[in-house]
Amino acid sequence: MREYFKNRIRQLNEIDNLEASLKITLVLFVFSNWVTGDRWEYFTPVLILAALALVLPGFYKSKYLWYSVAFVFILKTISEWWFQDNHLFVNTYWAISIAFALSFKDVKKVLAANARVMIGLIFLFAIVWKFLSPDFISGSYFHFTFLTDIRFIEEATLFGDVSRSEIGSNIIKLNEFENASIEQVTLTSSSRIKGLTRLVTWHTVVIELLLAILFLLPARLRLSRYRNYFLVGFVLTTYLAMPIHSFAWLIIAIGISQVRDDEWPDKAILIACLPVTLIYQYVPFMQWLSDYFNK
Amino acid sequence: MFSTVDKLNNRVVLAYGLYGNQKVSLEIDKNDPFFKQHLSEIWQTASAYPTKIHLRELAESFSLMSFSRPPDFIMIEVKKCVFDPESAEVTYDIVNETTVSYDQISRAAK
Repeated sequence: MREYFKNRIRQLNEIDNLEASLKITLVLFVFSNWVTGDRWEYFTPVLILAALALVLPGFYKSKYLWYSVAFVFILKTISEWWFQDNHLFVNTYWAISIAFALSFKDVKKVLAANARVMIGLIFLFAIVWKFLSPDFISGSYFHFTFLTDIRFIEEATLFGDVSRSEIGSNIIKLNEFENASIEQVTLTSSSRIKGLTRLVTWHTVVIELLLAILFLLPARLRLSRYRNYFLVGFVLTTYLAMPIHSFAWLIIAIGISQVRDDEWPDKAILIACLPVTLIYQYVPFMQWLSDYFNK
Repeated sequence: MFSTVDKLNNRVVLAYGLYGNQKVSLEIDKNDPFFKQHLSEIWQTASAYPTKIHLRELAESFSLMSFSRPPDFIMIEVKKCVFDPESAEVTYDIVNETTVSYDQISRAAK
């Protein structure tokens, strides 16, 4: 049994970085409404191109495919510049990087270098913005989110000592602001939620800062060897609470392309994280836990 | 606008019809096909980046709506969410606002 798993891990590790990274990205794009929203002008071409690329032999590494996908993302990004979700900008940058990398002779090296810098910069800019945002560092952002965002209802009820009905009533109160006559409302909160807020805030700050440093460090420094493990740690901990599986999937796809051949078993671990992101998204185990402890 | 309470989904866009001194809130149903077709994008743009130009564009799109009694002016307000963690109080501060003559925008639309 042990030998069987060892062999499977070895097999996963022997998968070509470029093929794995591009195909994993294409799998995400097959569910293109996750990444482009529900406007047919954008999701239909991305869906068709991604499906063809996965079916037709070798098409996944055609630069024309990736230029076309990048073109659709660029159009979408331009038309929705002011309100496009920040994660979707990364899709655009990644598709452009792949298209450019495929235009070079040493595709793998170019893509790996770009992927590494891209991950480093994503986290660097994210952490700089968080430090510039007083709401985030003070914990207000997560405090408010846990009290009013339906996506975090299990975490808030499980660890924050607020009930589902209290969160429901907070959401109703906020919706009443659409009625201009209301000037202010007081949300139902708890003292425990402040502790949860501090934990989540500082976890995010520490892990994103470390990722920015590790991915932007020169590859010759030994410390950079640990970057992929921190990326795995980030995915496994952050997306347990944040239901943004499409971004988790994308960051893993980018991560795989920059794993070096001597970094065993990083690639296998990153690939193994993919199903975990879907389990986090679709299996309601947080709800089970919340129901069990709040009986 | 990520990682802050003032994110796009937490902003409020309010539209009013001004009838003389009377200010009447224009009820907008975001599930209405009319909203989705004509207002949704301009609404979101005005919410995310509420410049006078974007607010005016939103006000102008109200010329496509039919009113039983047309207002004298259309007024648009964009407010951002402010949360005080100590008291758990939420208030909304005006980010920008504009008022446009209905007559002017309905003539321009024709």
